[in-house]
Amino acid sequence: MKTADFRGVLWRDNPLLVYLVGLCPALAVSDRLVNALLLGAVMLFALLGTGIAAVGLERFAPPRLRLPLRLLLASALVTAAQRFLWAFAPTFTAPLGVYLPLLSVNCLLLGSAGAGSFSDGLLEAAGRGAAFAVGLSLLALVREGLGAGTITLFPVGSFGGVLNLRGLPPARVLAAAPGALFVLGYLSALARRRGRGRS
Amino acid sequence: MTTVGTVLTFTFVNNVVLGQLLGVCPLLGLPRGPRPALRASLALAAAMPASAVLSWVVRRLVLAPLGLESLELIALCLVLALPLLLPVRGRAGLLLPHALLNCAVLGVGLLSAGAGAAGSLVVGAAAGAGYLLAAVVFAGLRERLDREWAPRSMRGLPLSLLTAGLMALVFLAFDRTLLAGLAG
Amino acid sequence: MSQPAPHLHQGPTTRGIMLAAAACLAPAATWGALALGPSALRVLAVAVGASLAVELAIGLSAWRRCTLGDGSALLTGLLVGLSLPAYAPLFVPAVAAAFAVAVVKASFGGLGRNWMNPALGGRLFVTFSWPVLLAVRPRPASGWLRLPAGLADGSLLGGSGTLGLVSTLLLALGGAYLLARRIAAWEIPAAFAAAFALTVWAFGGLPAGDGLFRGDLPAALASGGFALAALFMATDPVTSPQGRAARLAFGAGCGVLSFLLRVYGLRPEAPFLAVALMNMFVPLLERLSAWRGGR
Repeated sequence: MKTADFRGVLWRDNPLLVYLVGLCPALAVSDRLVNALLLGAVMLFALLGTGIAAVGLERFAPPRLRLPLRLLLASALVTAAQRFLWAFAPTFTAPLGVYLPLLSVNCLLLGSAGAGSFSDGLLEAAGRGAAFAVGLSLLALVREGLGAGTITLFPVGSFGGVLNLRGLPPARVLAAAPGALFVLGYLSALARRRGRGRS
Repeated sequence: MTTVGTVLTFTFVNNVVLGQLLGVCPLLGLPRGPRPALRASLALAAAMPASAVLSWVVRRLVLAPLGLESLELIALCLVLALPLLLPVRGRAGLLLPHALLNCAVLGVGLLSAGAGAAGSLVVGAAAGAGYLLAAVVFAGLRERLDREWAPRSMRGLPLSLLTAGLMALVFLAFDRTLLAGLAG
Repeated sequence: MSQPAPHLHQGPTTRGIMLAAAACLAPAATWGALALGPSALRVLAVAVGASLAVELAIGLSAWRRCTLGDGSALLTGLLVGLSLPAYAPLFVPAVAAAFAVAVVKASFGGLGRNWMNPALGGRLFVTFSWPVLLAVRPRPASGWLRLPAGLADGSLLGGSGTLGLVSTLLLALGGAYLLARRIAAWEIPAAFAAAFALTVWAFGGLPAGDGLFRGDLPAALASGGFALAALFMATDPVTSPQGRAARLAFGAGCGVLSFLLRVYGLRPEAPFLAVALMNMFVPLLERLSAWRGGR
């Protein structure tokens, strides 16, 4: 995928900001940056898996079975990711709650048509997954920074993981449900403007 | 929590759509026009208690005896996928994937873990009621949005999101205190 | 088919209406400032200033013109300021006014195109963003009049007690002028007051175990927040329904919700929350009223 295509996916066709894919989990877990990063990673993983499988299904599976099979594959991949995370990083997985398994019904929306080669499918999935993760992280950065006054990352070494921002008291609405909808609304408008400017 | 408490929670205090942020996708994607919108909302609102009860069935009668609780997600998705195999034609056939495969239906199935059969039904029905309320109000507001001019970048989905956000903002008025005051 | 809410026509008529409403608020605002002192004046000034500044900035950058002339930003700023307590840190009225103008009004297309009253949106945003800062607390007499303050209702106009009572009377005077000039529809405040009074009187005593018909009616009606919401916010022609039946239902809904949120939810800002909630139902109310043929 060329750079120009990637920038197109990042803004004009951003799966989260423009097409609002994976909305419910994205809105709910974007209250902390670390949650957003984790969810974005799992989404990318599941997308890669289903992206490759889509090409195979297109070639070998009867039409009516394609959607159910992709759903099953997505749920299997997400379950695998869930078990992995619970085993190795339970404190980070717990805040994701019910929204992590909910990814399985959203990967399908990103379903590529499956035409083309395996490597095409892989690249497309990677691009979309990365764009989703970037959009989600942006959302979380604004929400956590302004709504809670912190930026929470993975603890590394002596760094506890939480950066406290100084300034006015945080606006709690932004860290709550309405804030998710407001910030995403404006980010979506911003993505459209940038997308229009470029094309 | 009492039945009344559960219903009030899922409908107002922590509304399924506006508080727990499940079912936002179907809400924003509601068809235009009052009748189609009502039909779509009712379909989804009905699917939720069905999903909750079916999840209970799957958990209790299939997964537990076989010791396969960890495969809960896959089993639930399997249950959701089955109706897709039916040869449904026409408009219902197009609506079916969207009515079934969304975070609200699957979410309710997952959330009702630990509740009994009756409890699952109550949770599902309460969630359905909450969704219906949000959907009916949103559909009305969106009609007005469609009529009025708006800045180009904001038109369509951004303003729908903003509208949902303002709805969620006022729904914050329903909180634990009110619930405790009313439901005891 | 329901009719769209009235678009206020550009020009002297709009400005006249806005300025008339602002003028009707002036007596109560003056009273609040006198009774509560310089902090009240500061809150009002910041709210109005922020509202005007944000409207000017958006107008110039997005539409290349100054929209201050229609007077709506002034009115919004006044309403926001009057709905906030005098002890609010000054960034609170600034954010409330900015949110009201930029998010609730301008993002939707500007004057006449919003579905929620802008001042309400701003007040609610700060209510839930900084609840601790805005929590009601009894205040010592701090104004130039040296009056003891009753328990506040979260607004500049004071709650029960002398402060609130006088505020309510002054607002009622202003409101009466608006009603007489047909700027505000009478059905809305009438239904609001009737429903609120009835439910508070009948059921207000229940939580305390006093039984029916023991509610504290004078305290509820005399709170300045109620008068402000019923006469100046619920009657906003852009965000309230057309048609007699719809308006009566709208007012009644506001009254019942105010009662529930105040008596059971224990929220001082109940009237504001109630009107914002009813704003959501306006399209549905208009549709129902058109169905029945009532116009």
